[in-house]
Amino acid sequence: MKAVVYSFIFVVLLSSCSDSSVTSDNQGNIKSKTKQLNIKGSDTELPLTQNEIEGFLKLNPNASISLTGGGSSVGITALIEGNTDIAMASRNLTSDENSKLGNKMQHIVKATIAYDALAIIVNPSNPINRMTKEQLQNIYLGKVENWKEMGGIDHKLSALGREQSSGSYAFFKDHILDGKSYINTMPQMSSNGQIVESIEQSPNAIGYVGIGYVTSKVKALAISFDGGKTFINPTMDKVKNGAYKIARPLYYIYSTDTKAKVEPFLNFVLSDSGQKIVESTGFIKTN
Amino acid sequence: MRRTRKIIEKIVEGIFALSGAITSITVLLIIVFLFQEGLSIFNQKPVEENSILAVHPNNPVSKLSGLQIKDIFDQKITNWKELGGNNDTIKLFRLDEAGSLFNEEQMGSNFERLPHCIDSYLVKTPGILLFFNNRYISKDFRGKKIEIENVNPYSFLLGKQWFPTAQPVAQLGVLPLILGTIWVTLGAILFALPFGLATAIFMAEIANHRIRNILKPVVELLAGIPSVVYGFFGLIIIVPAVQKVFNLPVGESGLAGSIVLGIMALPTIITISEDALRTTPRALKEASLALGATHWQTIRRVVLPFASSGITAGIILGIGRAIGETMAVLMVTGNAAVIPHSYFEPLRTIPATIAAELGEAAYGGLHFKALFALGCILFIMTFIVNLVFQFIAKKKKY
Repeated sequence: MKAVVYSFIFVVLLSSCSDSSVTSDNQGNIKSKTKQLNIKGSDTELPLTQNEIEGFLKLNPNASISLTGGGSSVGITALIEGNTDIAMASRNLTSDENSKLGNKMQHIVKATIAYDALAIIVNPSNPINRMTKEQLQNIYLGKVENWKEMGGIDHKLSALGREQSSGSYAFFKDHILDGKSYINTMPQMSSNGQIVESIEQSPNAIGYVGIGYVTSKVKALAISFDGGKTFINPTMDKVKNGAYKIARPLYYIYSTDTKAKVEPFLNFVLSDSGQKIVESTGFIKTN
Repeated sequence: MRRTRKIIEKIVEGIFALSGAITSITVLLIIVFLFQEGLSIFNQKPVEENSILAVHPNNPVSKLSGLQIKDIFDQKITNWKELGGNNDTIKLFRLDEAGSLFNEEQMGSNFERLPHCIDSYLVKTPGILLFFNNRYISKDFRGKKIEIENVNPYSFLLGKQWFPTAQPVAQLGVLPLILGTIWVTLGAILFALPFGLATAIFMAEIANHRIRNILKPVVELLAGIPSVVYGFFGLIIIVPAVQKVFNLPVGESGLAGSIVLGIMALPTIITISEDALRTTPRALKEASLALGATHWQTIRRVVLPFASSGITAGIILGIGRAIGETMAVLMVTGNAAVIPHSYFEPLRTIPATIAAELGEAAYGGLHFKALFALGCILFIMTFIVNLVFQFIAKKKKY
């Protein structure tokens, strides 16, 4: 009985302690009326926003910001329901979300805070160094099954992808596959790290990961977007000047109604020091 | 003094009864919640709310199945002839393409003239298939809307395509997931049964007291390791090993999942089988030995038959453990939603699907409900396993 009482007191103490400036909250019940700035959404943007908040709090020690992950959809749903001030999204709004937001709020602002590029990676032992967008599409649509057909060794090819709920999955589908469905035998990995891990071990696999996840144990391919005339390596510079086209913007979405509350933080993120944090976290600056 | 003690006893009894009641109510509430959310998928259309699919008014096609729409948008079907319509190539129109078809002047700065643009474009293009939001539908819309049927239990359970986030029509076929779950569970039991049974017999009959005292806590420790650790172990050790040994393109496969699950089901099978073996009455064993049977003959002819129902119960509980396992499977099976044909291909189980996708599914949406319906299926599967367990555990035979 005593143990129960103690653990109860412990829980109460814990919950009262968690009022510090950066809190994670899975309930999402915070009302936007309070002074605290609530940010919620994409897991891709989570580490970046965490770092941005730390930087922001150094300059504004009295600010209070709460950050929660859960995915782009979770953030947007929370924004529609008024449970968050900023929704982090690594994809565009669907037409459904757009109309729901339109019903609730007058003006929605979609601020691009950084870019994330996807690198196409293979095992370093693979002789292939470059590939056209069309070849890549054929691989993920299941039209090419052997590396021989691409000028590689005679071995079955295996294309790895991400989970259906991941922003990378949707982005790759829209921009490389032109909206067509992936072949359904594609293994769906639950994280960027897992794809890198698998590619390190399998000489015949190919996969796509965020550019920040490319390690020395995998090889990033140069991709041609003009049918094989020029091949472009996924480097920060090439992404920034728009030559490497498998890059997606990362958004903060908010309503103009809460502009005053959102702007100090947003301005920091878009400032030079905020954009430096973007680069050091492995993403690409907006300017 | 006696009266106060009596009162205290009454209070304690009351508290016990209350906790019993609360537990039962909680369990019931969870089940009701699960089925309420899960079954509501069958009142829904597999398209996003507010979205519209429409064709040219003169197009004879008025109904399309979800699979047909997917094939159209994947450009596998490119002519209306294949769908029983006129000989016209299908022209797809999505809302995000509006910007390349109409200029800003035509659409208006706030898209106020977009509905009109869409409408006039539709009438000009006989082979069109429109997909857009009903916010942009004009008042005198001339297109013919395509009927989309609700999700029905038949197509849900027997559908072979699991693309819950596909646009414009989600493909909700759970057959690959159900078969994937059964497949990997079966593999796990095939793997765990010989090892588990052998260990149980060794511990109950062959090992001496000291070895048994070491082995038993070790086996029980196996049950206490978090499943993420098993998953990680599988990912780092078993997956590469499977890939190398069988020369597979990727090691994430049903086999890797089966091995990891088999290891996880071992403690359940060993503990329960061993208990069953040890309950064999001494008199039976001694009678067998007195008749001149060897130790092995006694184990095979007396102890094993006596304990068979207990061993079966252990296996079934092991199956129950394997069916519901989430994290470890998610990490090692590769999660491709295809009907499994061999143990060397990636497969996807129900728990792994729920774990991987629930975080991104919008609350109350189609995908969310589909995942709850998956939860219902999983619940029914484990429920059946438990019923079988109850049935077998009750049946004691001499």
